[in-house]
Amino acid sequence: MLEIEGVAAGYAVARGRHRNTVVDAITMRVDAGEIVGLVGESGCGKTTLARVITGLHRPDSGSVRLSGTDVYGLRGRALRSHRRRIQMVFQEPYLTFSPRQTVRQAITEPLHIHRLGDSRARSARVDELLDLVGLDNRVGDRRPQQLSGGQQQRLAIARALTVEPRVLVCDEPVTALDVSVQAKVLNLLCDLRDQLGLACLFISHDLAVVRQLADRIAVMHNGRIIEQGPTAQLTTDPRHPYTQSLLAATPTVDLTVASSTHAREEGVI
Amino acid sequence: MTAGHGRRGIPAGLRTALVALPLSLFAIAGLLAPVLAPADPAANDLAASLLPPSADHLLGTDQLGRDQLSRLLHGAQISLAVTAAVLGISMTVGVVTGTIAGYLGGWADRVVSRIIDIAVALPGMLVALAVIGVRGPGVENLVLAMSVWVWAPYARIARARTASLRGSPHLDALRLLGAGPARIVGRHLLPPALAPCLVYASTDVGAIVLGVATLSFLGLGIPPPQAEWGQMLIEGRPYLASAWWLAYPPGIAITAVVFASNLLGERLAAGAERPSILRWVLPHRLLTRAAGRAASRPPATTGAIAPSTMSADDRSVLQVRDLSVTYRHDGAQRRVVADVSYQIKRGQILALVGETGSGKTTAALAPFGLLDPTAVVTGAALLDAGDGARQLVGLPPHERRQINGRRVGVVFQDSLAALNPLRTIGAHVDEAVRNAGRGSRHGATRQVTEELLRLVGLPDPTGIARGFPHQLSGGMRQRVQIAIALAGEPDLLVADEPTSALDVTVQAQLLDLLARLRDELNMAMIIISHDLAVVTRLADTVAVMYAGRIVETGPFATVIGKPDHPYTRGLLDAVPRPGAPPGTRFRTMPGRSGAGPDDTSGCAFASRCPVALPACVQRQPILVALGGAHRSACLRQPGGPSLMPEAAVGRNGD
Repeated sequence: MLEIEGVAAGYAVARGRHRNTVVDAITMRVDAGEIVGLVGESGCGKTTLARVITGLHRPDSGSVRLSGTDVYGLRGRALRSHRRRIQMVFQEPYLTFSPRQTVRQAITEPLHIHRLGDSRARSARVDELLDLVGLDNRVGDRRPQQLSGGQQQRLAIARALTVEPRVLVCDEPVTALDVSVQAKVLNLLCDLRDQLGLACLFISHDLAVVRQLADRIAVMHNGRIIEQGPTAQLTTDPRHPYTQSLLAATPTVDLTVASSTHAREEGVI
Repeated sequence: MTAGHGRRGIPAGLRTALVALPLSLFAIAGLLAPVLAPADPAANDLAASLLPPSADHLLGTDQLGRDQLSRLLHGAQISLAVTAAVLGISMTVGVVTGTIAGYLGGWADRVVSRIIDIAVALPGMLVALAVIGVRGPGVENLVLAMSVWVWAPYARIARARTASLRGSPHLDALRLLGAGPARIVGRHLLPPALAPCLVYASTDVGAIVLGVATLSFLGLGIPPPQAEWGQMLIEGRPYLASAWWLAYPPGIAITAVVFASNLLGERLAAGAERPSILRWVLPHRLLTRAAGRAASRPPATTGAIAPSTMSADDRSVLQVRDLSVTYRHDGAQRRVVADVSYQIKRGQILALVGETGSGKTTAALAPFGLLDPTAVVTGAALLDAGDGARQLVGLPPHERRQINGRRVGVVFQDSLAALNPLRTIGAHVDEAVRNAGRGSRHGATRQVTEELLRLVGLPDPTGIARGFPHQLSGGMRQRVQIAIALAGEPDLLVADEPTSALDVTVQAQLLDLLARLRDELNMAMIIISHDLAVVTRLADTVAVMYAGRIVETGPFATVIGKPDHPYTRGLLDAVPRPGAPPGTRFRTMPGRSGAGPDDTSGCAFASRCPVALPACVQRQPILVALGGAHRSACLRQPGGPSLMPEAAVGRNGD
């Protein structure tokens, strides 16, 4: 469904000709009906890669193909219809909603943009989407800021689904949420994958979450993917030393860890 | 739409309305001048010249016998029309230019910004005089001159507002949804940019009225036969001593409008969050709604809680008993922490665990006076056991200073916000060392500082002491915060989510550091965290908080291994499990958190609890011992066989 090949991307530094490469030589794929976890620590280039994949940031080299079409070769109307097929969910949902719109207006806006349906069909679609993500349709008249963090993230997912995308890129979607709320949003993603056959790229720093959620995992370090593979294989038999250290550092409530409190103190960050 | 929408909005709304009253009168007079005016403002009647105020002429007549009241009203009409035209032109030009420049960024933004800078820097009156000097007097030229004078601040405001929104995820989300630049600028950037401009415009009304009057006074504005306030002033000037009624009314009118417009601008600008000027007439709609939710339930009296049965221990560093914290909001009181008791012994780490809004941070910081000054703290908090015990609740500030920093150190979550960006790391730690009464001369102080930095595992303490907070990574800054907290050699360290903002590998190292400090310094610690997994490495005891109360507490291994309270179980179930096959659904709890301790008469968790009994909604459960120090606040038979089979916890969605 989504194929990324040899992608390198960066930012121009201080008006000069010099470019600071943030991600390099990224090759990976996400198939329909599959959740791929992209794990890495802050500053490793995860978010830049997400922006490249969703078409917000043009890569310096390499290609991003969706169902075989090169995303960055599109213009005008073709680009607009392409937009419908890949959507993104951001880390802080409250920043992605206009404070001036109600929930219903926020979800309807994409339908207006793509001139989909008449007002009755749009209204029905909103109810359907709210139901799909498990929100009561009474929240429709409230403003996103009045909802809880978990509800906001569901709303963000609902809005992304309005345009019937085939690929959903989630950039740290549960990092700002409480553990019990996080569990509900993650289950929702699993359900969407199963019901709609969505391809989902789940970006997170939290390996504990990813290894229970994702079908495959890619580990990113310093702008490159250093290891990728099926979840079970990668978590039980990690090859790369960085993956191993990431697994070792991931906090769990496993009681065996509690006894080895002072196991490591390996210098400073 | 009237002011005073909503009960609590009346006083503030009324005050705003009163401030705006002269402006409203100005607008009404201007709009209805032809109807209101008793006479033709231009009709000469030399027989009736310079008459003092009377029943026929309420404000008297001028030297040509014209009715002063009619002239004043028609003057308002002219001022209003000119002001409206100037504001309309300058705001349109300013907001559109500013928004587009802010949205485009790059060289377009730089060029427009420089033009705005130049326009703002030029003296407005001179620019207006120059325009009129070139084009001659007249209404159109006056409007043009005034517009050239006032447009730039609008462009600047709109540009700044748009530029701050340019990189926001909100716009990225819209682009992904297929929105083009026209929609983004028109629907999503112009309205928020317009809002502060409208607030500014309310101040500008005064400036424009004054400007028009000034230009007319100088003979460059509205030509003489027409009644205009500045024109009236200049015509009344020769008669100031003999006929006061000529100059005073227009003077008062100008002063009132300028004064009211400045005051109104101040008031509107103070409520900077209000997105549009319409909110001025609906001032507190959202605020009232939020407050109404919070205050809807009157604070219940303290529930019938059995007195704490905790026994003081010799090694106890801090013992907190029946701690409650109440905030007063709009006259209503709301408890956020209710009857919380905990104690920490030397060399032990207590983890206070709970979700957002559970009151964990409040419960941990309340004994040390670190809450908002409006918080009312009741209960007891004893620092040290035995004879030297100090009651911390209600301590006067000067005594508190002897304790905070010396006996107790605090580490906050956001290390960047906790450190002053303009001071070096060394200066921060030096200050803490001096406050704690250690190190007198500079050299000695710095020596202690470097020891502290070394103690928290920072390499090259000398170099780091010379650095600034932004030059350090998040993990290193957090270590600096710990060094500062350790400066007074405290017995107790309180750490509020010390690792939540850090990467896992850094987090692991920092948790190891805390464990090492506990062992080496035999310190007591309170770690506040939303994540049970994080404190697994550290905690000796744990207290799980829900809705402002401790629902379960005990030795960490016991609570995690044999959780009794349904909430603790739910919380543990929601944590990802190592070894669970990929795609395993996460276990969830129904409903949502966020309730206060007094929102229900019974157990706050009852509505979400899969094993709730009818009695749960009526009686507040108390912490009951289950064996050892393990205690749980649940009405089910304490310690009995679990009533909650695994399957009872929702396995799929919510």
